[in-house]
Amino acid sequence: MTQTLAIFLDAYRDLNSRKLFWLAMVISALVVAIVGALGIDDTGVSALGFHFNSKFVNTLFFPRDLFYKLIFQNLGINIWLTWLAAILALISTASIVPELIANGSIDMMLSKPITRSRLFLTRWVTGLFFAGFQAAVFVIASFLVIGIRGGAWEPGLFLAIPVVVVFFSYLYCFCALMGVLTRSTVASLLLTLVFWLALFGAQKAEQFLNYGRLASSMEVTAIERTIASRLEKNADADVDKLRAELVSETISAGRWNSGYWPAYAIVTVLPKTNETTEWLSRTLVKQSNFRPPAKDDDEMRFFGSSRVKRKEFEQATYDDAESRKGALWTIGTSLMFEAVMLGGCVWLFRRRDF
Amino acid sequence: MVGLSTIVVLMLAIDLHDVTKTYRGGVQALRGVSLAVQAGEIFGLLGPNGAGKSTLVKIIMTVVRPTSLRGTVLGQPAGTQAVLARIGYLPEHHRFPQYLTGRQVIDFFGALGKVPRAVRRPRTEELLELVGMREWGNRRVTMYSKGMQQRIGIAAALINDPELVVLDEPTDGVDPVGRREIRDMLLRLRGEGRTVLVNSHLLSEVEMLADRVAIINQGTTLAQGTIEELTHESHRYEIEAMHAPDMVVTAVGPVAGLASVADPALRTFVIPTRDAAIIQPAIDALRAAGATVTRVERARETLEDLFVRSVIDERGRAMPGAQRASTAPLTAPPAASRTPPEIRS
Repeated sequence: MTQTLAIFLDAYRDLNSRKLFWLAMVISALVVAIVGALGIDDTGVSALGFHFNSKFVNTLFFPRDLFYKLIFQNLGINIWLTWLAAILALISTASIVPELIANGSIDMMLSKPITRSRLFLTRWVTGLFFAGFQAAVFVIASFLVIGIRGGAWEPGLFLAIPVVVVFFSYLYCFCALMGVLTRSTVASLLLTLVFWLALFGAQKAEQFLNYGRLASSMEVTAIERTIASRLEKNADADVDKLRAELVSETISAGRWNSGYWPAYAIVTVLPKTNETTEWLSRTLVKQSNFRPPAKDDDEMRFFGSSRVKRKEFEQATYDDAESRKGALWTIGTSLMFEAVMLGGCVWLFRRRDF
Repeated sequence: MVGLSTIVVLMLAIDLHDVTKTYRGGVQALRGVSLAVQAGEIFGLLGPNGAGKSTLVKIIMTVVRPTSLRGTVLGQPAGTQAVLARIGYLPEHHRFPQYLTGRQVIDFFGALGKVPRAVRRPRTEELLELVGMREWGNRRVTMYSKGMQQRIGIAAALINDPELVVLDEPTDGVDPVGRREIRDMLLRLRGEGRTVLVNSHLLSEVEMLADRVAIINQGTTLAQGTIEELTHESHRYEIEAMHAPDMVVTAVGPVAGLASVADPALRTFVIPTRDAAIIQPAIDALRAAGATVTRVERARETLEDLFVRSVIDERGRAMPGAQRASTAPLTAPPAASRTPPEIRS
């Protein structure tokens, strides 16, 4: 315990000495302060004494609490914590493993009565401090802003802290492995950013194929429903045309499916950065009613369909994600990938001569 | 009856045999080194660059994994956590976290060494005093000179009250006054009953400090023992005489050998003996021939002479057809020996 506490205290001192850590903290606080400075009423929004009339952003369209919640979700989580702050955290912590194994530094550590596995893993965990502190400061401040300004006290928001740390840990385990392999901070940071982009690309591809698959499947159902309706009314004038359309759409649905499942399998074994953020959003929606109102008459046009409405499509994607992309799939399989990465790090670290 | 103190003295703090290390790529850093360091002594590890000294020290400290190793450290299998808790170590090119102060460095490494906080605090103050860094304890290590970092490193190595202190080039970068202070400190550590293993290339310092030394070259132990034991065969008398006629030189020659003629009028005769009686006939012969004896001195090899001879001998053996510079024995048996357990990886 003495050793663990010492390593944690050392990590805190390390973070405390980094200007970037404090810069990120200040930006976090600033972002929340700006959101807190925003006001909303039935005519529009106000900021720092200035009022801006708006037909779309007002309390008639968004309830006051939802206005702040949506800013927290879309700006706070989806942009700040899981992109910009995560990049700052990576820049700040990428050096931890290369510095640990640098000549002169590692000699002193390894000569102490602590196993290599424990030394490495404890030091790695301390690297998560950066993301943890940042997320905690941001979420606590947001909780207060939503409570005071929006009038809704949502303890469910605090779920964002561990989820953001877990999200960061996916990248940080890869960064640590690159650090052990290359011993270079710059190389491990750059390779991690490339890895992150690759993950982003893979998940977006899987999402695109899934949307296509769902849209196509819904289109098939809609055509079948239309044909049945026409047949019921004996209005079979366009049925042949619809049947031809159905055949074409069924083939298309088959293609979407055959493209989707391999992509799904690949994403399943990789850490799911986007999916984790989306899982958090879905959970916040369920817990704290974050969902913006959808327009009933909005048509889904993205995949060329005019029969499937946006609201139906959104519900279908939501239901699909809820049924297949729960915490176990999203976070569980990502943590398995992380365990493999960390296992590789420890294996290399234990075997290496310094 | 053998007293407890005798047993303690005869115990080996480090008793390693056949230590080998082959790095990836086939580089053989150690080819079967043996090392016997008695408890309570200062032991000097010597060798030219690339001899394998640092690899050996790193193996003792578990920084490098041995290819094979038999032996014990502090009476237990080498490399165990229990053993490491009883050792203090200062590596050659140590690097402390730059965000820490000297006091925090000592405390941090103490905590890693499982020293309880209640013990660490007062001991840190004692050690800062011991290494003369009390005034600088609250400054960040980035502000320290190399010598100051070295002092903090020594303090950090001593925070766990170690029985064995392993110091790799402890006086590196330290000014002459600081070196003397470190030497005094090491002598004090020995006085407290601790064993000190010093890896240094400063032969004169090791000669001043070490009770016993080992010379390592090309991954093997060339010589090991007290300096007296290792230079035993080199004891000699040197007789310097002015105006010694050639006739006398020839007469003395068979028993002495002409060492050098720096000045045509000055001749130095070297007689390989530690017995003063043996040189008397040579002095008589010189005087009888009208030579003036200007100096008679008892001498032996310095550690530097021994080191150079050992290394040159080893090179000679390594080169086919080359002859050794000397046939003097280079290894003195350790005071105690035992059959140690074997570790292979």
